[in-house]
Amino acid sequence: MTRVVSPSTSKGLATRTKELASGQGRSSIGAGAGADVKVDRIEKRFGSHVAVQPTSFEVPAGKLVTLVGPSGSGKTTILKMIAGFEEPSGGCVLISGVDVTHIPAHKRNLGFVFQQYALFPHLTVAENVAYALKMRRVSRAEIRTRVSETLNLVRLDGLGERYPSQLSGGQQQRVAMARAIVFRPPLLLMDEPMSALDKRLRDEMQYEIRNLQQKLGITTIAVTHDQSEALVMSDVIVVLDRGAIEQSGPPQQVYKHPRSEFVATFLGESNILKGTVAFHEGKPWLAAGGVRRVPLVESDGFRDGDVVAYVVRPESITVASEKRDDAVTFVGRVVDTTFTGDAVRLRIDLGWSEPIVAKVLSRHGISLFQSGEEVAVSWSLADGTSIRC
Amino acid sequence: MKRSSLQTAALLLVPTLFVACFFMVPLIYAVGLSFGLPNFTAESYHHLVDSPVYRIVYLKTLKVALITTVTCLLLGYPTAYFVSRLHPRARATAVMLIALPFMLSVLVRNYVWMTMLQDTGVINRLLMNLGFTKEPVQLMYNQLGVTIAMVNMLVPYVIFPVLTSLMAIPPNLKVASASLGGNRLSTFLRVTLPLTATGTAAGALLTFIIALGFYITPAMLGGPREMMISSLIAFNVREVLNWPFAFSLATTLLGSTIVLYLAYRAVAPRGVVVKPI
Ligand SMILES: Nc1ncnc2c1ncn2[C@@H]1O[C@H](COP(=O)(O)OP(=O)(O)O)[C@@H](O)[C@H]1O
Ligand SMILES: [Mg+2]
Repeated sequence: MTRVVSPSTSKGLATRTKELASGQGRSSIGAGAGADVKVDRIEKRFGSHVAVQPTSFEVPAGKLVTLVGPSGSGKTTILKMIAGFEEPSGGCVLISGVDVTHIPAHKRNLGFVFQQYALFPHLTVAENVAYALKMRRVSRAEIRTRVSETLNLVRLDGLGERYPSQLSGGQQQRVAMARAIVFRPPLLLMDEPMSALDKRLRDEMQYEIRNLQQKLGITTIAVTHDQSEALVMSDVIVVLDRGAIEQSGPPQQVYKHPRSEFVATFLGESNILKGTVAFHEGKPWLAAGGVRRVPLVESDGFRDGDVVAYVVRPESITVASEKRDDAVTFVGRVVDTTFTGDAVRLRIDLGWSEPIVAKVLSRHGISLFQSGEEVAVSWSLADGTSIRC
Repeated sequence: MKRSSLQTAALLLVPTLFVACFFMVPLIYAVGLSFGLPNFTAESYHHLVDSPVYRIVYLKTLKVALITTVTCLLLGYPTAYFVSRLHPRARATAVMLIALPFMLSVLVRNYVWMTMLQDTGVINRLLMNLGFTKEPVQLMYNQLGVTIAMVNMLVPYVIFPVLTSLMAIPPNLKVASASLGGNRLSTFLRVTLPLTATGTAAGALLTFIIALGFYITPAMLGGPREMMISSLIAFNVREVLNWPFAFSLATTLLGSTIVLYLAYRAVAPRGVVVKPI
């Protein structure tokens, strides 16, 4: 189980509870609106099927955490339990230090962006956005200003009178965002907010959501099965597999130092070299086929004979015509090359493992290396990570 | 493209001709007769307006139809709501049970109600045996009996359209309402009710229109004071043989129905399409 450290709450518990219930206590959009969230050994079983194993993580105030994992890994279920749509089979959820596990959803005061937006089809955009304010009996004049403020924030000015069916997918997405943040919730939950958009729009929205989230300082938990989205948007990513956390941490760290083969292959592309640890002159090496191949980092505390998977990313690999001294270096033969637009992918046979994939930037769309050519492959010691199996 | 639209037209030709020959032509003929075809005279209509009996029967018909419709709504909507929340298998059974009476002849159903409601009927005997009353309660040959039977026959016309529109509401909308702070009541009032308004209005209108034309039930379960306009039409066709007058009554009934329908069209929410997401 992995934990993300968070600062503890400064406000008193009683004050916070009241604010949670009434949705007040914040004067304007933004301005320290974020709550910290603690999910403690939360679990969910459907009959005998375990959807979420006891899972704990924390979200510091104002941060964006992404739960990422393949379909069916329990992401939505975790989010629903935090929102109060689903009763946990065990464990608890603390928001700003208040245990909300048994508070019904409509009293939790959390923003939720649904996978398919779930906009009210019979209400205009403005009425959709105003919904939460009406529920809180905000005065009509204030509703008007806050709705237009929020529509402006998501760049939907002038579309307030339209019905959701008259909007494009991207615009509907923004309405869903506006509706979820207009009442200044201390926590925003988003379930695959961009899965219904095409790739171009998705890339654009990733930045937009990230900007908005940082501008408002709103604590956010997003769910996605798209690893690149997770890497782009998040302060922290939590990688889930089969209802349990595989690894969590800042995106760069998780990407660079995956702690399991699952994480290594799920987040981006990886070369995985299998072997055992063999010591030579007091230093650990990865041995494959009885031959020492790759020097390992000593501080990892290996023992002789440990079975390890050695991970190196395709973009960390340098391909050159001559061997270099200062790094891990091998000679191999190019199996094939693939042009991918911004880069060229080379598959190179080292003779003792599966062909290794290297990604080199392409300047003019042509590879400097041809199939069958003999090349030197190298990477720096720090770019490799070993996972004990 | 062209070919298939031609085929569609050919396919539609037969039913169109059928409806035109055997429904529209007689209908137009009947309307014509009410105006004294081949001459033109509004005599039948003068007769209708002048005679207080017909006005009373006409108003009575509207009143019975209205009471029936309101009762059907009050019983039908909650039933549909309950059925929509059942487990799919239980829901299928419930739908079958609601539709079951449609398979019985109207006549049989009226006789069933008579055995239930008469002075020596099931209900009265139960009430007396349990000591709630000494004398039998008058449950039929009055408006109560007519209403009970009509509601029983018409309530599915409310239940089914309402159930259909309830089932078409994406379940996430209710969850969304909750996440925005809506409790069960406000979610019902602001999401469920508006999204079922069209279905409910359709069911109510259908019920009202069918109720206007009820004939056998008022005749069997109502007293002489419960005569509805259909009985009057039948009476004029069969006994008095005053067809122009009978058809003027029928035309007035048809006219009211059309006016009602147009009124509904005018007030029904527009541009709201509930798309199952
Ligand atoms: N209401 C439910 N009843 C039974 N099983 C469910 C229910 N909801 C989710 N599950 C199961 O729980 C697991 C996790 O589901 P979910 O949280 O939706 O995954 P994800 O969002 O990561 O795709 C899946 O195996 C799914 O089939
Ligand atoms: Mg999901």
